[in-house]
Amino acid sequence: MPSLLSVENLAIQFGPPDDPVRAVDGITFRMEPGETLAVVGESGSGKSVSALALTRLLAAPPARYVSGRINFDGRDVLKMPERELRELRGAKIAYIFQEPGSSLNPVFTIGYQIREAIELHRPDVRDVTAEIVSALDQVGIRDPASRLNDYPHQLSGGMQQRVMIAMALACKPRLLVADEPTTALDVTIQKQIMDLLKQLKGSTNMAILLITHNFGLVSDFADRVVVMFRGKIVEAGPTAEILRNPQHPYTRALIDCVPKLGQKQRRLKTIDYAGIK
Amino acid sequence: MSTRGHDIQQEGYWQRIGRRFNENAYGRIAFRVILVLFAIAAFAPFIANSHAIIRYGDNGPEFPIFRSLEAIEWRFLIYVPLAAAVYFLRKRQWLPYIVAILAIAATETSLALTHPVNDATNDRNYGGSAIMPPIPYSPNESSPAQFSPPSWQHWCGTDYTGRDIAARMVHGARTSLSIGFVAVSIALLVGVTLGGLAGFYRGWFDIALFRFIEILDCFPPLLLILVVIGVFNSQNNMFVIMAVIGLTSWTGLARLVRGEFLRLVGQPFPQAARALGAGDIHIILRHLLPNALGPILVSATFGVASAILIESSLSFLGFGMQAPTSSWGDILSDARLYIDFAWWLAFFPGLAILITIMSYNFVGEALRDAVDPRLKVK
Amino acid sequence: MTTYILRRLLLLIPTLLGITLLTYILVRCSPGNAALIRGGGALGSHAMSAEAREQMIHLLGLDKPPIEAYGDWLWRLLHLDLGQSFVDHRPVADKILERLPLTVVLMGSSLILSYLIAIPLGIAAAIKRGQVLDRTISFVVFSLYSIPSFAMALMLILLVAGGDYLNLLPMFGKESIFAEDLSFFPWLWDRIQHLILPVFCLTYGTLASISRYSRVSMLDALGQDFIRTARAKGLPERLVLFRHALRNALIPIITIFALDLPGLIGGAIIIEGIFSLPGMGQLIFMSLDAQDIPTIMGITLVAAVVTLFSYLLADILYVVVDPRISYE
Repeated sequence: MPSLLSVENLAIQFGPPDDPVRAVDGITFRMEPGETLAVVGESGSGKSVSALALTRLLAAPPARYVSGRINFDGRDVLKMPERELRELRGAKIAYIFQEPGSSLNPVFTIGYQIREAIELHRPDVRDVTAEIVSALDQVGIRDPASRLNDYPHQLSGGMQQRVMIAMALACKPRLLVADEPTTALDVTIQKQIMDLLKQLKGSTNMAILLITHNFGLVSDFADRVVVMFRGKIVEAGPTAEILRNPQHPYTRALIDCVPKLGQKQRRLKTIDYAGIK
Repeated sequence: MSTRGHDIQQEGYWQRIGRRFNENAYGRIAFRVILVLFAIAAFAPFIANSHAIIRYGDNGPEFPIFRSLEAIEWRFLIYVPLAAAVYFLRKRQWLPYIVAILAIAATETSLALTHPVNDATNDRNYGGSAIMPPIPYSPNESSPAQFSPPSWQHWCGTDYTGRDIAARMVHGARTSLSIGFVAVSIALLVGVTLGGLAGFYRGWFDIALFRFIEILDCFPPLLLILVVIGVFNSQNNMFVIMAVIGLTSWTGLARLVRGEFLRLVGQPFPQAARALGAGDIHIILRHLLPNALGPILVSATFGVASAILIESSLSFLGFGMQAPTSSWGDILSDARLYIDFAWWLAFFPGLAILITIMSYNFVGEALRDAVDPRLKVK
Repeated sequence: MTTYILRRLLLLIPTLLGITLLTYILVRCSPGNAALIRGGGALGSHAMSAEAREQMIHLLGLDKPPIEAYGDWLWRLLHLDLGQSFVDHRPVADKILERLPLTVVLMGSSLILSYLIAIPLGIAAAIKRGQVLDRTISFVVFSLYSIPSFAMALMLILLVAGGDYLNLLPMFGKESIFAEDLSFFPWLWDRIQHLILPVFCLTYGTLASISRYSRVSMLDALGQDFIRTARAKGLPERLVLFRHALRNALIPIITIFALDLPGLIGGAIIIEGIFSLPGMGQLIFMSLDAQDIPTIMGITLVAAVVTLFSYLLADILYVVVDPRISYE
């Protein structure tokens, strides 16, 4: 069975061609349908850039797609014509972002924004309002019918993120890319959102690509893990194995950074970059 | 700018602003244009004058141009370099100050004893050899050569009484530029003080000031200025005009400074200063004001452009400066009647006003871009 | 919403009082008054008899203490009585009303024109940022902005109106001398011809600043996160720009429009002067020349009140147009 997503040797650069910033420096990974993959790394490791590249959301100047292929459902995203790309976005690959408050348009109601997605990709749906209500219900928003005319600023951070998820799910995508979805939220809300994602993972056949810098979120969520450092993948494998037996020093350092309950720690661990190649 | 592997040279806040300003080509050029304009205005009597700079007479060299200088010219010529000298030599104990006091005393006494010789003779047709200023005409010197178009003799032509336009323009620069400058200084003084105090102390003063600003802002500026000048009958009164323009344009600055102070006071550093024992004035002057200075400068620059525009409009309408202390707007107003056959009457003052305003606008834009913290750092 | 408006209107009252107070103080302190009382001084250029002077003093309220005179004037204002002109003893209100339409037509058309042209220009510049179109528009607009309106007017008169060059358009006045003899459409065309140059001179400045403002506003909107979301949803670029970005970019522009409304009264003073148009500007000059105090006060007051209500309108528009802003 061919993979859902197959990234081969992707390289993306910024800046002048003779002195480039190699944001993504030749990475290769795959995702199977229904699988949950976590991409872990610190800021600047290239994980967000890779995620945005999956539907060419990365603006081509200033970025440069230097080499590689992104195969989704058998087609190379990097070579797709505009029209096909737009059908891909939202309908097959959907996104949720880090700052839900600013990722929603403040002048349109949340009902309108979700409706927009549905009308765009599922024109055959007759009762769009019911679909919207059902989507909001699916993400755990209470009394969804009354919230259709709310504006984003009237919602809390957690609810905004749920709305983003609902909007992403409304078109039943094959892959959900979650770029640091909980980083901007309270710890308690973080857990709620992660629980929601876990629940969705079970109830739909959607693959989820979770981008995060926090290894703590990974352990009981992702099937497999990919660790990125300075644009390269330094380690990859099933979650349980990586956690049990991290090979690369960076992976080990990242795992160590997560404070563990019950462990007496005098100083928070930091990463010693000099020791990493 | 790639900093990988190299040491990053630290630059101060103002150096950074200066550097970013200089990177803007328009701003750089415009700034130099303004400097040239200021130089022209400052040295106007030496650029356009019917008296010679040096004249070789029977008794040796004479300097008629100096004899015709007014007291205020002398003061300007002597005090500005004197102030600069005192500044640069300020480390040398009491010496520069003694010299300064002596110089001031000498200047003032001789000024009191002498009067400028304002003879109507011109040295253009002087028999012997003489060195004339570049534009050998005085601004208010009529001649029979009325309405002559631009030529080698009269670079910008002459007007309806035969006065040389170029000379009028050079001296007009003084009027226009100084009114703009002083008006904005007044606005700065009033606006920054009131706005700063309101932002710092809040309370009833803030509320009262804000109300007052609201009320004042309801009056259209040009209308208000016209009414004040008209009702008080102060056309052609330079100081009143400067004051009125200044006093009708300070509200923007006051709002700006108040806003900045409100923002700055909320940051930790003023509290830290107070914890170290700093008094109110110290905090305002040494901590808050320098931080707010960037936007203030930008606003002031645009303010000068606006003040010059207003002054030109006023003079054009007949409510501003008139001859003998003409401003560019005044020269332009004469042109209106004769526009169909004497295009040069309007062209040169119009051009001068345009270039001046444009330069100030460019400088203001460049300054604004340089000061703006949100712009991507290069 | 209505309570919000009512509340704001109530808050206007102290400001209104302040405006009247300021206007009154301004005029009361005029040196002409002192001269009048002293017995010398001709008001404007009219010499006057003792009787006329007494009347004038009484009219100006100079024979009463200032506060009482202010109160009298305020009372009359509440009855919408702006007093009578010194020049021809007609009600000030009438004189203003007969001049107002021309000025409003001038400024109104220039305002609408400039916004209609500037907003698309600015948005186009923002969308094609950095490219030739953007840089050309920005440069042209910036240069235009710096040209004083009277310089532009003189230049246009020289080149396009009378004079030795083209003689396409009339140089002054609002209609030709024989206008009354014309039937409707020729009359309209005559009017329009006379107004083209003045309206142009009034328009280009606002056009310049609004187009730059639109550009910045659009760029701001385009840089927001929700644009990325809109693209990620698969929306065609056209909708991303003109539905999501534009709607946000227009918010500040609409409120600025309201702030430009005060210009409808006194914004055309210079241009009316140059083109000899019988509008408010001319009335202001004539009144100042003749020291016609009641008219001067009347005009100043009307201008200030209109400005005040435009600010109110701007605030209300803001609340209506931006869902993030509540009635607080």
